[in-house]
Amino acid sequence: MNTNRPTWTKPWSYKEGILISLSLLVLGFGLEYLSNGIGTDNLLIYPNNLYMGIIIVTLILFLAIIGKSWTITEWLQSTAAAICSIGLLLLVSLLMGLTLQYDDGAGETIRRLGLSHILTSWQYLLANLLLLLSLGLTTIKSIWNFSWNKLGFTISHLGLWIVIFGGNFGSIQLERLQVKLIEGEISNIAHNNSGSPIKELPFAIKLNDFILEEYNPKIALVYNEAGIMFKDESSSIVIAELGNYGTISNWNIEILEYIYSSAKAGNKYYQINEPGAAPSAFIRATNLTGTTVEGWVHCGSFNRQYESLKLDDEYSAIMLFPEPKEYISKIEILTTERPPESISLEVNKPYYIDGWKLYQMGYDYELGRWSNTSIIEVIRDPWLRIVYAGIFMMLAGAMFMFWVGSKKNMK
Amino acid sequence: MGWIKEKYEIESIINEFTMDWINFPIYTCFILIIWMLGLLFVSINSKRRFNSTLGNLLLIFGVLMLIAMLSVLWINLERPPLRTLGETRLWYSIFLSVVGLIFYWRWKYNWFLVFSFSMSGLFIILNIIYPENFNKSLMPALHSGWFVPHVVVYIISYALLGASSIVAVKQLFDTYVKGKSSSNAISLADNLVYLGFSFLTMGLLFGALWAKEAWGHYWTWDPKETWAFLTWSVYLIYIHGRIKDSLKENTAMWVLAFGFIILLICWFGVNYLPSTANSVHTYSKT
Repeated sequence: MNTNRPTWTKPWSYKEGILISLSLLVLGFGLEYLSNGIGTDNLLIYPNNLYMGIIIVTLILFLAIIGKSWTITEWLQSTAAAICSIGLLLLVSLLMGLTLQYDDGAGETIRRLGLSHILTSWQYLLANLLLLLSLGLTTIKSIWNFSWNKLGFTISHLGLWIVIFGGNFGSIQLERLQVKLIEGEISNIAHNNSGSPIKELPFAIKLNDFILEEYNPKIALVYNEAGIMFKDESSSIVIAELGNYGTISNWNIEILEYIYSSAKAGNKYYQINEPGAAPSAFIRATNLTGTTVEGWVHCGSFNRQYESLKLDDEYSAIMLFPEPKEYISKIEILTTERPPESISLEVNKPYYIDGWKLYQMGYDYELGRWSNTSIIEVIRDPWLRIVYAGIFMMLAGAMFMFWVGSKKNMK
Repeated sequence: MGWIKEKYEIESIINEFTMDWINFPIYTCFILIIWMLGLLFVSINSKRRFNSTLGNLLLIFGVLMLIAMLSVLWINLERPPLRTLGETRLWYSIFLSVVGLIFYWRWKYNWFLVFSFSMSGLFIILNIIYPENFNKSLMPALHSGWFVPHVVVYIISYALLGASSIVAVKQLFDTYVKGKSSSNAISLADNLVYLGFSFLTMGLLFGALWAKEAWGHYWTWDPKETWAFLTWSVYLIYIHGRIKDSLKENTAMWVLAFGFIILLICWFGVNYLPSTANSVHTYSKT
């Protein structure tokens, strides 16, 4: 880096880069403040995102073809511009990483400067534009001077450009809605987050059955007086499973009997199948001095009282609520054109139909496995394929990097 | 209740036999010994062709045994062994050792071979010491084929980038305190960052692909994601800064040292930041 060169004379480098980045940052904060903290929320809506995209691509092509030898174009293709533009986006993202986003309790100044909604702030938009320009021109240059040796460079840069572009301007068209289903009923109305109906879907969904699988519940100790759980690094729970045993604090706990679905009659629990019949276990607790306590613990449910077992003045044994392992909605998709389709929808396994992805999202948490409602999330993202193309290009680029490594080692 | 106890004692013994975990320590101790021998042969006088070949064969044999064990477990459990923490640790062990070998063949770094096999062995030893973790329950969002690649790739990347910042800190110390620095150290740092960054990119993108399947969108700027992006950006700056020595060497070393702080915040610190009140990435809250 030649430090004797006067600023703004060719070729631009870090000095100009830092000035440009800081000016954009100040401009961003200024626009945000003047727009009263509304940000770019109303600006970047469909179809404005498409116009924005066309303008950016045209600008990049214009600079690459007409302004090929301009000082600014050469700077945008330089390493200094890459570092300054990544640095600016890093700075803006750092603000996002440090402040609570979309916080209704944010102070007036914080909100007006866009710090409570960085993603829709002017400073974030400007930082992305600078990066897209620099990255776009660098990519075009490497495509025009294409060589097989630099294939990894070209695809990783092009991939990143597509991901940033599609992720920022494309995902504005993302539709993310919910359908609340009740067993035996059919619905095609999608709601937004706050529950107001938004849209009629091109298909209807019928919930035939909602199934929730649970892990065996855990047995833990609580302090009688404080009512809080005993916790230890090594072991603070015993899984309720016939024959299982373990040590918590100074008590050795054995599970002598375990019933997954049970109810109390007299002073004993029996196997019974009805809504709210929750797990119970007959346990034996022995402490180091040989004192033995035996009795039932029961975790309770929305309509059953829990039962704990007092061990001594300090501790009682309790059974925690079982944790969900998997939940599945057995649904039927009804369309006008095709015969109905029966599918099992579970977490991590979305189902794709007519441009929409269906996700198992939630259920009635209070009723747990007796829930007869299921919440399905429906998502449409017309840009997904484009962004995925970018992601796979970046992955390929990363594999090139793994194989080729640092250039300095290619002796 | 005496008969119940006897009954469950017998039952639990039978269960353990069919589970195959009871034989775990015997098999794995054997694998660990084979690996140690392999590393010994590779490290000691590796210029002799015989030593190097024998060492490599021993290491490969150990890895194959581990894969065979996992396959038997898969068949016995009648489901992919990806559910419990102990099972995923087995996958780490296999991935780490395979990556270590491929890496070694490509770059000939002995230390990386020792490092990756030690990490792999550590996971095996953890499985022997804490067998009760085999039953650890995973929340539904973590039941995914992406879980293992995402986590393993990140672990490798963090380890490499961590090593690169050790180099950076030593280099800065040498420059400012001793007044001299070595160019060897910088090219070592470059290598570590390039390899670590390629894994970091893969981990980040695997995470994005998984997020689409589990949470509906590939990127939601959840605090963990924001910090993962910040980490990725800092190393991206370092890599660009090293092109034709665009940044002064000292500045580059500062970037590397700073990058590790961001990485640590991303890994451990995020949970303590005010911005994480609504994060979906915190699994340890109970």
